[in-house]
Amino acid sequence: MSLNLVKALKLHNEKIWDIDCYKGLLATASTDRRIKIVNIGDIGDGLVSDDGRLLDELDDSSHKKTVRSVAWRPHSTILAAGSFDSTVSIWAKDENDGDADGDGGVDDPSSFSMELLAVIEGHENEVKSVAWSKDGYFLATCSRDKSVWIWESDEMGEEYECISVLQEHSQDVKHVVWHPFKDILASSSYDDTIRIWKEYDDDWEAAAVLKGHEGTVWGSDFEKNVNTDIVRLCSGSDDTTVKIWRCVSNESIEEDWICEATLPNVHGKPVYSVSWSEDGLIASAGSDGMLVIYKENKDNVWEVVAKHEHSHSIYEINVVKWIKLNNGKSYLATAGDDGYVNIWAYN
Amino acid sequence: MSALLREEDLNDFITPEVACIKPVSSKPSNGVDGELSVGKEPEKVEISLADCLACVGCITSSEEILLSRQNQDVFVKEWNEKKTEGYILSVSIAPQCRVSLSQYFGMGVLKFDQMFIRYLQEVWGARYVVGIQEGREESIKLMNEVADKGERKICSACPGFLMYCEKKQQDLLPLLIDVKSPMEITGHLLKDGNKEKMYHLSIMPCFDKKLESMRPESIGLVDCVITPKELVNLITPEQVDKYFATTKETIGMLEWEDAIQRVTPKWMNIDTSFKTNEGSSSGGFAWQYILHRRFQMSDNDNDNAYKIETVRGRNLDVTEFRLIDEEGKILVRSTQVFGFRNIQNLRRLVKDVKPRKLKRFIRKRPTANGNDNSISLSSSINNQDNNNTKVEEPVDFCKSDFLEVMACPRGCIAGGGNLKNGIKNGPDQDSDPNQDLNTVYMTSIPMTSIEPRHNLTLPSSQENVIVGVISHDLDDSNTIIKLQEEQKYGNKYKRKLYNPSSISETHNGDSKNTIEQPVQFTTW
Amino acid sequence: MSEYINENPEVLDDTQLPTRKDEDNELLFNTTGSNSYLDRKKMLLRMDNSSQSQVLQNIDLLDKLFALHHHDTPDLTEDDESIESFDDEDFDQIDAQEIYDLIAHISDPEHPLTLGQLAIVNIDDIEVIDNGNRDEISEVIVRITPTITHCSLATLIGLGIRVRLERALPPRFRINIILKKGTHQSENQVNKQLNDKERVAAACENDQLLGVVSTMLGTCK
Repeated sequence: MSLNLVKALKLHNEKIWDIDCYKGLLATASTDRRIKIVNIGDIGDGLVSDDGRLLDELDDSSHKKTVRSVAWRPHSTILAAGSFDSTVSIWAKDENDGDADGDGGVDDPSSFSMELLAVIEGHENEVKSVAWSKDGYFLATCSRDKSVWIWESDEMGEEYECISVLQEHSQDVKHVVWHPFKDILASSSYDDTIRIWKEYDDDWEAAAVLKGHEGTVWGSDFEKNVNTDIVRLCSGSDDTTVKIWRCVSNESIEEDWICEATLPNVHGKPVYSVSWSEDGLIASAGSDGMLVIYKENKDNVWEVVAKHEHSHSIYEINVVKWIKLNNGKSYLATAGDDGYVNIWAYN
Repeated sequence: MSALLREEDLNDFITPEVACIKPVSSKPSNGVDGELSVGKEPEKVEISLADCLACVGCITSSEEILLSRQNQDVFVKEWNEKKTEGYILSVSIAPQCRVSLSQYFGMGVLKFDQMFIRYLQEVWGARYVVGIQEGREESIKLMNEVADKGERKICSACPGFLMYCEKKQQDLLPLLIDVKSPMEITGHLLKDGNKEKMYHLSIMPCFDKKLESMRPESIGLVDCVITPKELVNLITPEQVDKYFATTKETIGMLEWEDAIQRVTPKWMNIDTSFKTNEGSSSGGFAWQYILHRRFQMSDNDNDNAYKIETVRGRNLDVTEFRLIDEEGKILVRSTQVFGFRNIQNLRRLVKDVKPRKLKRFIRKRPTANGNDNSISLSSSINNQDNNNTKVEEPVDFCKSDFLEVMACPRGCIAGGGNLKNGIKNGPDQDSDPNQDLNTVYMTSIPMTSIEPRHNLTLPSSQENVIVGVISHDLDDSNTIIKLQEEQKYGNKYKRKLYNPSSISETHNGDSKNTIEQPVQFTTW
Repeated sequence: MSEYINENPEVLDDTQLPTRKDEDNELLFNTTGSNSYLDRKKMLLRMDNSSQSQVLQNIDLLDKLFALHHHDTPDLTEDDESIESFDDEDFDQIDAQEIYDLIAHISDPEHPLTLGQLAIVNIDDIEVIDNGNRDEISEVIVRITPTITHCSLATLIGLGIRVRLERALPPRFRINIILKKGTHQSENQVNKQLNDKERVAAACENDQLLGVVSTMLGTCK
């Protein structure tokens, strides 16, 4: 099993903190406050000449500080971006764009542009992460102010109403992620815990608190299991480990979760990001610049199946995500402090 | 002291604050504005929590210190001192606290009142014990009039919300109704009408009321605020047995009125003191406003030309009352908004937003449980039940003519200082304790109607009120009332709203201790 | 503790601080620019060496200004890593003395003395793991000793040191700043905050904090 670099895209002169890819459109979040939209849909084949075309660079005056997180809304070309300036901006592809046949793809790259739809305020200080729920109904945001907010929007993505403010973490909340098929949210925090949130009655409530990490939890990701009776989560932490959690009972509003496994410790430094693919592979990356892939064997034991050192030369990797490109295949995308986004193929 | 404020208790809407996130920008203490004030030895503070809405992060360390200066121990110490100096003790108690405490002791509200009065008289030597209804009525009447003018429409009686606006949402300040809260006006009523030296203790459902009592425009009105949680700490087990023992007998109205008789000041209204008005358990401001507007249309209660409709908002904490004419046109909207998550959406009032589109994102919502006591009110309600096929216009804060905003979800009954469970009955898994308390509030406290006022116009320039202008028609009672109103609003009962730049002036009252930063290290 | 190590620090004179004979290379380690660029920078700094120097306070800006000369907006679809001209030397190993020289002259936020003089930083408390190979990750561990155990400025001092080192050291270095064991009440909490990359990055975008840090770094040579 090998891990190969397919493409290295130098997109920024400063750190790239986050990326998100949807239907071949890659969005970046960087210290330089410029959000870049790049068409990488056809990169996989390596043959098309105008791959990695920059489509748009969003106005860098819309955020006064680092853009920390970006997320595409499912089934749309609406993008949410969270910034250290405590706001979240919402962008949508301009009406008169190059998508003549309306298939979501980009026909005429030169006329692609995104316009600013809304700026959401509310958090006290830096917004660390933004995430859309499975159908794009909810937008979750979290911040150093220790809270997780849930917003509801309209179809057009223009209006946002706060429907819940969740203040149970005792420290900075670093990351939020939704379950792929249910409306369940996981938040990871500097307080070393992960909290699971569900809607109940009139408001959102904490269903569980996952304790076990010995350092800040930087990120987590749900298993993409179609059988929604099984809910599992993987998490990466400052304590250099990656852990797997499983929900063992969810009769009532409160759920019981256990730490099912700690993956073989390969990283010697903080793990900043984890991602769980549709076919069950987990990828992790962090401060040591190493990209690692794990797989569960038939005895349900996790093994390292690939690793790549210095994936962004000597720089730290801030985010790793499994993505799908136009050829239908799965790739890994990483972004780091070197300002690069790297696309990897795992075979 | 801090044992009272445990994380588990205050879990629904506040966060414990270890170190203030904005120690420098919001509260310049001994440095020039904006300078990093480098700390000396930090002062030991007992409280580091506040069930304050503002504790999303912006309660400052100096406020933490102020909070620690009002608690049951401070009351005991101060009252023991004042007693020797010839002060008399007046105690006022909010109805939400009466409900909470009566449930805690496992008895009816009226019985609790009677026992409480006796306890205060015998243990503390209290001369006067009052409810806050008279103060609330004054507040409501003035608020209604200010709101009628159209500019200011958000009730500022909740100190948590008020402080949040002053610190985080200054653009909402011009919309706040600048009339003092029931607690403050009760302070006025007690002290202004009295020649003797008085120490006023107030029992309130939340900790923010302590900060409210220390606002510059209200210094001295209330000497100490304590919450039911602190109060029960003050009552010894022997006192519980002696004064708050549950007995089977309930108490009759006559006995109750008799108890109140002895402790109500002569210059205050004994009829209303321990009653409450219709509306939410937070004071019913929104409901009273719609009643006021309805009365303006027609003073005949049975006039069917005008109906009041109750509409539920996006969640249990948003409720709107609408005055509808015969054709079904909405004339007036008065909205109840509780909880931080809903307060967020008040931004719409001052932001440039496109008008709310009716076509909302359709999604299935889990249904709320059936009983909805929070909006069940007596008389004159035309309820829209769930089976109604009429499509309602959704609640839109931008269209409201009056907004009652409370920081705590479910309102003051769920205040952080209120006790939720009785000592007799353990916590019941399925029931919402706040809902139960709400029911008790609505059903167990005698109601009074607020006398509607004839149309009085307040002076347009609120700063320059000429006090002492005598009208020649002295027997014209209307004019006298008008004069009195002008005086009250122009002077005493007006609330002052503070912008952050002037906040440094607010807490200079106590010059004994300089305000330090009790943080262990600078957090960024 | 009965007798705290650094409570009444014997203030060291500048001349008593450990130093290296060669002063030229002291603070000019950076990753961008060729030798000639480095020389120009050294010259500029020598010309304007006062602690009030705008130039010193805006080393970042300076870097950027110089960088403009060297490359345009980078191509976004480069296959090779876009390489900025580095130092010719492949191996420039950094030792504890160099780190010390970089940070000893940072001012304490409260007193008009430097961290070196107050013995908040000591050469013996600096650990460097580096073999000079710029393709490998290196590490620096700086242990600081605040003057009092409940020093509320420990995090600020740590932040100042971190900013200084991040600007001065090549990117291969992972910087760890921790409190010397037993020197602070909230040791673990302070350490956690100091080494949280995201919190540090956000702090550096806070104008107020940055102002304080700039003042602290103003006394660096």
